[in-house]
Amino acid sequence: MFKILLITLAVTLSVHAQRNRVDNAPKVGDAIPKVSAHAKEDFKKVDLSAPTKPTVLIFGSHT
Amino acid sequence: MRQTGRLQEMYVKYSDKMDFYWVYIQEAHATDGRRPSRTVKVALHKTLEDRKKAASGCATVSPLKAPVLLDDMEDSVSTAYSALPERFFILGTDGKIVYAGKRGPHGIDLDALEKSIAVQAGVKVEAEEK
Repeated sequence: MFKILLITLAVTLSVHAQRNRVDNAPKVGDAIPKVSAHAKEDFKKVDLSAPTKPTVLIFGSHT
Repeated sequence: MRQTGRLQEMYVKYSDKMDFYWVYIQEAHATDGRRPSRTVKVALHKTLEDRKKAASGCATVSPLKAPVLLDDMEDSVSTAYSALPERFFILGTDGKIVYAGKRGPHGIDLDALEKSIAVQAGVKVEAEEK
């Protein structure tokens, strides 16, 4: 019984932590962060801070 | 990353008016990470070359054909946008964020993203049917 309670508590805390991860993402109207990424082909830096056209950033990975 | 088919549709539809970049970031469920994926086997990237290899493998099988950029090994871009594991933003030419999606996978709202893309692209958004 104690084991079940402990597991339940661990799962609850884990879910709570996931939902409350620090989120420092810029909001609508905020200045665009001054960061750059690398082109996949040649690793050249691509400045993402001053777009000349509206720019969609899609963040993700394979997993 | 999920929903790549729908993202590809948006890319095809609007890429003449806007830039699209798929920013490949650290693996959310690497084989040697805390919660490994059961279906996709990719290890944590130790070098930019590792990241390139993972991104290339992913881009090959993904329907999304937008240009791929790599986050650096300090995860600077992902950190600046709190983007792990997946997230979408639209940057305006005035230097401001014009769309900030919630963190995925649960916060993803592709309808809201597409509406915002359409506005930025100057395309009239049709009223939703009820």
